[in-house]
Amino acid sequence: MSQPHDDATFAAFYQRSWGRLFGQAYVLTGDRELAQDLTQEALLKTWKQWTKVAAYESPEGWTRRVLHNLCIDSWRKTSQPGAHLTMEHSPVTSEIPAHHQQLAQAMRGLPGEQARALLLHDGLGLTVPEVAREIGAAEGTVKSWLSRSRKVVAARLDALDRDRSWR
Amino acid sequence: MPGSPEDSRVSIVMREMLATCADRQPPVSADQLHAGQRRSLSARIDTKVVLALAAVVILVVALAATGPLRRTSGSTPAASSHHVGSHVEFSVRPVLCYAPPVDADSSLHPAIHSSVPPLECSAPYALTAAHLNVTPDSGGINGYTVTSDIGPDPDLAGVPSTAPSSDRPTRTVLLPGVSGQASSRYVLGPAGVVGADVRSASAVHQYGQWVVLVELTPAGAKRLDQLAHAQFHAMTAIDLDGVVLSAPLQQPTQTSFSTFGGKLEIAGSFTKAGATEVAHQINQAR
Repeated sequence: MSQPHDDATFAAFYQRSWGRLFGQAYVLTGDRELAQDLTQEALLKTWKQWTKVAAYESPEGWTRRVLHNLCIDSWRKTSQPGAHLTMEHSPVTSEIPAHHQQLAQAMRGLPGEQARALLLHDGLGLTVPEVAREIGAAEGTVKSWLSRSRKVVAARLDALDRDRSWR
Repeated sequence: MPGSPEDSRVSIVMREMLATCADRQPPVSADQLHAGQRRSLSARIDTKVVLALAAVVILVVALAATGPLRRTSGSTPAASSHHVGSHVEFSVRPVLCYAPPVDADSSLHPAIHSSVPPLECSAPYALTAAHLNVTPDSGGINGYTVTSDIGPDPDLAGVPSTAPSSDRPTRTVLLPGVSGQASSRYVLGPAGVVGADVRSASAVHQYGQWVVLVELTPAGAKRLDQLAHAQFHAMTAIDLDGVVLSAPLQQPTQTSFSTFGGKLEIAGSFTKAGATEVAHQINQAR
């Protein structure tokens, strides 16, 4: 299926992009285990298309799109009510600071495209035109999404702080 | 540390989340990945349950009321002593290295470690400018690039954090971060700026977030510049009462050092009340 050359370039790409992609999945899920699963899934999809993707201007941009969509799809799968606690406490989950969890939960409450836009712009520092191109929306739309969704997420972070007591 | 419109709180938290993941290594090699040996940490716990767990953890953390300035051992008298009138310590220090969370065994007995063991960072873990290798990059995502694979010095896992009574400006100290989690600790060198260098501190709302602006005396301004210059492209930390409020890289987007002009801005995840409280404490530390 692949040439040795492909193996080497993919291995380098995989190693180089893992931390960045994993971080984005963490922002979109607030869950390091799920983020790890989804990052592997996105990279596996990349590998299956590697001959094609490797030639793109930004292979990581391609994988990023796949990953963000996987993360947003995971919201639907995991948001059903009625889940109950039977497993022992996961140490990996418990390491997550409350403000990270709040941010991720607020992201999950946004329409998927808006969450992607906010991550690309406020998290990764893409410009509005770049975000608009990546998502396939008008720049004006992206701008209004950003200001609205930033307020929603900020309000969630503020609510967390209010819950904490200063003594 | 002037802010830009992009320095919204959301952006700060998001970049912090990205940064905590940036040095992660893939759990399996590329070969293993396409051989189908994906590793799932969740050991196939139903993702529903994982997320339910996450929700529970939020509650626990909120109930624990880990305020931004409370130590992990927030219930000890030492942690809240500054509220009953004792002196608040404020200092700006160089960051020498990260330290792992304290071992459970030693954290149970913080008081018996009143004699301070020598704190040293092993060379590979030193957060020097040369190691961090900061390069301004105006086209890049952050405006700079940095070698981000410097982890905590494992030799410090058994070393407890410095007790408040031992947190002296002239000493090297080991202090926790503000998250309320023991996972981030820092080894900090002797203070460059101390409470006496502060002219005034105030909470200010700018660019959609609350920050604390600290104005220094002329002597303090000079000391801050000396420290920040020495730490150019490395990190300095703000130590407020034995907790690291913030530990930013110094001017990573610049190619050369420029003066702070006696003004220090502390941006974190502050509410109005939080910023006001921190400003008040810094004023008390003068």
